[in-house]
Amino acid sequence: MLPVGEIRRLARQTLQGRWKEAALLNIIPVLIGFLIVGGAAATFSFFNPDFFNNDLIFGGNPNTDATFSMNIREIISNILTILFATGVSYTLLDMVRNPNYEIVPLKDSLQVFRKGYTIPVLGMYILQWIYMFLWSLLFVIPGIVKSFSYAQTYFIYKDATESGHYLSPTECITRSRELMDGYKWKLFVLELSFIGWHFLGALTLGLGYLFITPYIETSKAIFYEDLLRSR
Amino acid sequence: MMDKETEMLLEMVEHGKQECQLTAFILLLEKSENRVDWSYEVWGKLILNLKSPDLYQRVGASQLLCYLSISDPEKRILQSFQDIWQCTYVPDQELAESVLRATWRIGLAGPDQRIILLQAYEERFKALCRSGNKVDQSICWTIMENLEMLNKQLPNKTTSTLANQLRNTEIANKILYSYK
Repeated sequence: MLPVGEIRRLARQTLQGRWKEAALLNIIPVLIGFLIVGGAAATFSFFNPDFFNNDLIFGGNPNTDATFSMNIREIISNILTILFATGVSYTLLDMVRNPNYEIVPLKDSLQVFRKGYTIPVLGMYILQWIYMFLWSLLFVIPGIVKSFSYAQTYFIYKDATESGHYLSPTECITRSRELMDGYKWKLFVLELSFIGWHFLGALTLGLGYLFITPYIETSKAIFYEDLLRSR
Repeated sequence: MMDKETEMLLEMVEHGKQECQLTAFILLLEKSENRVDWSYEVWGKLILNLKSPDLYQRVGASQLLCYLSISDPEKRILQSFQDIWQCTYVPDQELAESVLRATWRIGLAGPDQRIILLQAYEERFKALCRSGNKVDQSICWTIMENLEMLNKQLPNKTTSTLANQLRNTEIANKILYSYK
């Protein structure tokens, strides 16, 4: 598989000359974060609620599991965020696969709704949440490790659906688990390599995420492509 | 030669925040399930950690050494086996069992490693087999499971003979009954 540094370089190369469109693509989800939850806290956890909400990197009380003690506002925010974020990540995956792909920001960020993926995406999100919750109850393997196993679930759903196959949310999760077997550490390291960028995002009160998120998500799309190739 | 990504993972294991450390450690173990070429770059440190007064360091080092034993062509694990095995006796049952659960991987490393492992399993099992204590029974259960996993991954007559032998003891039947 490609080294993390190379994945990030390819992500920058993919975004070259298209940062503006990529940033516009993120405006809706970032605005939701601002309006519903408020400020940087929401954008901090945007796209990766489990990894950064758990205060893994930034400290905090490990006994308070933020992921599993959500209020209604957070639930609504998470549902909206996951729907838009999935649309954004699908667009970025298309862009990675087709360098000539032209981003139409509003239309592309709504692609989950347009293509009728809303219920399956929510189903996958809820199932992942339940599985991670159950794993966290075991105390042996933290839920976060499992979140790396399930990281490719949405991409797998997209690929299967677009190639004419129906996969249930459970099947997508299972395939993601199999695909990530032996490579979870690599995704973890890729996530870690963005720590500095997250600090920068926080410093700009979340506005920096307009650019940081496409960078991270494009890197993850390249990671997925590379994973498929190496399997 | 250790790559930058593994270095980063190890750095996180050593200096990360508590939960991040655990995540990194679990992922490092997973990475070490396959042969790696950097085992001797961390080996010395792990051996030192085996003697550390910090229980978590000892347990962590033991687990990682068990995983790295397949990447140990010089069979250095043979010299450290007793220290690793000692960690299966630590007072915290959960930690002790986490080390015990990792030990079967030593048996994957080669015949010499397998011999001392099976010997340790047999002695421990026999020492505990008359106990009615739940903790002891749990250890016996783990030993039986370990033998099964080892035999499944690397089928071998000695391993299967011992596994059968232990499974047919009175305590094994009692444990199997209570655990199933």
